[in-house]
Amino acid sequence: MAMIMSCECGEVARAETEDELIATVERHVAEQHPDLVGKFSRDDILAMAEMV
Amino acid sequence: MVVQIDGRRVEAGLPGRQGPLLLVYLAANRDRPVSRDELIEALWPDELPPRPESALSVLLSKLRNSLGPASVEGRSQLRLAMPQAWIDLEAAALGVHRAESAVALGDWTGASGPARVALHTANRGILPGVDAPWIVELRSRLEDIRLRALACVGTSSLRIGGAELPAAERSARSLVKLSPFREAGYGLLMEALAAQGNTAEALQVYDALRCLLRDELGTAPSVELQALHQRLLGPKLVPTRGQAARERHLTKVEERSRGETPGAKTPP
Repeated sequence: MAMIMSCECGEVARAETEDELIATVERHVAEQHPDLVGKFSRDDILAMAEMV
Repeated sequence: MVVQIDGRRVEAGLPGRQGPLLLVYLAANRDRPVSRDELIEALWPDELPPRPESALSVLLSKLRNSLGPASVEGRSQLRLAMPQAWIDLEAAALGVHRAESAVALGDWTGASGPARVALHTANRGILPGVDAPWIVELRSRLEDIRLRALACVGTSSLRIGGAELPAAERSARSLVKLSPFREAGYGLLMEALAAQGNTAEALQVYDALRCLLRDELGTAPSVELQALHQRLLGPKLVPTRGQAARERHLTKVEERSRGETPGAKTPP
């Protein structure tokens, strides 16, 4: 089951597993939102994810 | 609507149109027992089925089949018995509360996560196409959370600055669009634009609000917004003593060149 998470900036992260989604989102945060590194917990990211 | 149990999606197994309604009602009220009469009124607000008690019993039985036999407890007073369940309506309310607390403490980066969780979950809406009174009320609660979350994302992004300024601008624009008489949105937008070097656009935003309030309500922007507007206009130039003397001198020279007596008043 695929999951997506749309960042407020417009970037859409897509993954097949929860772990993959979290890694993808954390990478995006580090690259595009450096001030927010470490500010999104695993639960935060999964709460924002949608199943597709 | 998505219902997941142990990684397995089960919403397709919910009974008919009323099944999702029953689950959402129990989930939204899971902090208290709900009577059968209350459930019947929530599920069939316009017209009752021929035997409402039996219809409710069938629905509850099918719901327990989908979610598990112990998922709903009680007979005359019912309650969703899934204490570990994650419910997006609750996540949105908790998220915005945490975000507002962080903003009040000036913890801008700490506000970012919970504010975005609240915004994402509130943006999903609730049971589109269904208009029972209690759903309209839930939607209104969710809309309030959405606006508050936008304000938190906007404020925290503005204060963090740098790469987050565009997020502040987007949030403020959404806030203005969704709630055009909420002045806080205009203030955020003006500050976000000015922080990105777009002072003229920030002044335009103020002017749009000024015209809206004048035309619709016959009033003016708040004192806070007027002060922000003045700040964006920049300091008023007060001539120094030397500049004032030089201006007086130049005026006299101009008057002499026109053949006038310096300082004499021109007759009307």
